[in-house]
Amino acid sequence: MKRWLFTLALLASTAVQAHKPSDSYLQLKVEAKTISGEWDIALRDLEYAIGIDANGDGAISWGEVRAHRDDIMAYAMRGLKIEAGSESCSLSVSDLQIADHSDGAYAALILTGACATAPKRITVDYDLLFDLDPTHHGLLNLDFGGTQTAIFRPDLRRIEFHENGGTAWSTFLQYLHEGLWHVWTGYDHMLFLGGLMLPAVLRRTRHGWLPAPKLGPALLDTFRIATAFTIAHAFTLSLAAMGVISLPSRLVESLVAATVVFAGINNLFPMAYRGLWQLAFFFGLIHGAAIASALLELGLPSGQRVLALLAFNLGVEGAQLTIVGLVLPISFVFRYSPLYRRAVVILGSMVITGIGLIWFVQRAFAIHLISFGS
Amino acid sequence: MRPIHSAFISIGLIFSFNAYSAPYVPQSDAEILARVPTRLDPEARALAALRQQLGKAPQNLDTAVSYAEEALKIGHARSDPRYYGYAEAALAPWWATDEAPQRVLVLRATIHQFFHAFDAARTDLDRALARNPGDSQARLIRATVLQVQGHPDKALADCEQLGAQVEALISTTCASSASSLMGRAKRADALLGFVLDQSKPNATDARLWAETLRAEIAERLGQTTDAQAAYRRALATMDSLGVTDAYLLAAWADFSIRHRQNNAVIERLKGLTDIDNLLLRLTLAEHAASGHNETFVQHKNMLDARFAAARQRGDAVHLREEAMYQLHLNSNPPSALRLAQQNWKTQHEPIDALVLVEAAQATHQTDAATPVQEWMHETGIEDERLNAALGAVK
Repeated sequence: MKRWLFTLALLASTAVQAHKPSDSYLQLKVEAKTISGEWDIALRDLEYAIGIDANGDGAISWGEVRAHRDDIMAYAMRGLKIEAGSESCSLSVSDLQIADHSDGAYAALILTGACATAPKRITVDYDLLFDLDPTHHGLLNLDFGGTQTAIFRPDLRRIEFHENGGTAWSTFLQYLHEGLWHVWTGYDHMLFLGGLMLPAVLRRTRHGWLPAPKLGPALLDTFRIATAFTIAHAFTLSLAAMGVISLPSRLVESLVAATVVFAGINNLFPMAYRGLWQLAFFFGLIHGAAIASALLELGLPSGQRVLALLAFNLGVEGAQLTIVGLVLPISFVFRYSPLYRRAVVILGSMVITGIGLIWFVQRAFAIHLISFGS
Repeated sequence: MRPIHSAFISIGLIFSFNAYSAPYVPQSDAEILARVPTRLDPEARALAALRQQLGKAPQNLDTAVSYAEEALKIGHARSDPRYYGYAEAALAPWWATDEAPQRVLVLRATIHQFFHAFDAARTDLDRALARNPGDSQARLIRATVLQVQGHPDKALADCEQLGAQVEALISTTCASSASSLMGRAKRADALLGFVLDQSKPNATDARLWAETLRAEIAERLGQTTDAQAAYRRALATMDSLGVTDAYLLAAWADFSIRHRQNNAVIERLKGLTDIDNLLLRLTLAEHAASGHNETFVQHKNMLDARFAAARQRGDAVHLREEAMYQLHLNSNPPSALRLAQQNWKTQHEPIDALVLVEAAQATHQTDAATPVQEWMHETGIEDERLNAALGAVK
């Protein structure tokens, strides 16, 4: 039995930690697609892991750190990965400097990277030094919309973060923005709404389209259509996002294309005259199920599900109303022009019908005809 | 630290990088950034050789145990947790299993208790002693863990079973340490004095431990002159061993500050700011010497940064010291009480009790001192400091 082990045992109650255990300090900032940050790793730890004190004199100089620059970078970067969804984001060290912490000097790795698209959530994989010192911790400070923190340990090496994991207000803004954005960039909803709204400044009679005499009723009509549409899709969207209903996306997307076709054809060969808002309501149910897929991809923050849903729906409605607000006054001004009625309404509706048909065929039969985002 | 800030940290929701300063590029290549063991350091060389061997055969129990023992030896001498981590890494193949080999169980317990995981240490030691009741190393460690947890009676039972397998000074110190907390302080001290006289007079770790204990017993009994002499002897033994015993230095510093010998503390500890517990005592002495000068402010800031770093990590190793810091240096008794109560859940040494009672007094919460009174009643411990502090609470 080794003598010192007895001493160790005797002095067990007196064990005093003189030094801080091994920690690294990882700061990351995710802004749109761009990742930036700084990773401070104790020089002592790097010395033990890869050996920096080249001359073995017990003193690590800046020259020795610089000489091992590539080794340090390679060693560290093996232990850090960031993913956005299933895609890896690039991450590299742009500079190596020194940072002082309460227990001495650390190598400060200046990080830069990028993801393919602006992520809504990221996964950070941390695996540094755990094999050499299981008491090592990685302390993360993440700026991803708001500040979040986490500690990596041997039993917790992979952590997922959602953008803004923070306040109700930031969640609200984020989902409102997502709702707006989804409509502005979702051509199928735009086309469907456009199809419904093109003749909004006109009144259908037995003799064809006639200009509406006043803007007020035209606006009210359009507002009714947009709101009926929104209420309907908010309904199915919420049910789908909460996981209450789940429809096959191929069916939903095909039906959305069919509604676009219907909206176009209805302007050319009127099938429904009045109460377009009822039609919009019915079709809104279909569109809601489609929009839900975007929300499902984004995910609802636990604890703020209702708030996020509300914000997203308000965003969708807001986007629709801004389109109405922009398009309607212009078309109202030109409503007496035969060019508007013939070229814009008729031609526009034909284009809408055509695109809707192409989408329908593509989606329903999984045939690729043209590259046109939806 | 403001209360609201510490409240946030206590629930672990928010932390910010403490003492964070912007990275920089050193002025020249010759600038020295960190100190590590030299290549000629015999301990570092031995560890490096074993590490190389282990790299080739990580599943080899003998190599792993040798490496872990060497790492713990260095870690103990330097009070450096990293080496405890290295030891744990070497024992990785057996770390998570209840059926670990005997030697691994004992080393694992040593590592657990260093990180204040006392219950985990007890579990391993119970298992080791069930397998081999004659494992005196396991028994000795269990005795110390039991004492830290506030069970001197159970600790004493273990010490008494050490028998002839270990040298008399060790088994006597073990037993005296426990019985001195059970209302038999005077007898324990007399026995220690007798055995020390019988032992060879040369400085050993066992002698250092026995002399430290004698000083503590005298201090608890309120025998100030005897305590001062005993501390002086223990420090002399430490000096001739050429080691830095942070436990002895902290106990002596607390005693000296209590008796207004602040300058002696400042003189001895001013070069030992690396060691958190001693940095605390140094700063306390500077505070008591009413020298709120630049050095004091600098040391207080250093302490602040160290505690913040430990909290950020989620460690609960420094609770007692942080309570002392909040109480005496940071004028934050509520925070001190919270820390002292949290500390009392895992540690029951006289100093843990003292910090709790002092924090209870400072916050005028008489009830908060009740657990200490109950513990004193249960164990029969004699401690003039505790009696005085409890008198002040009422």
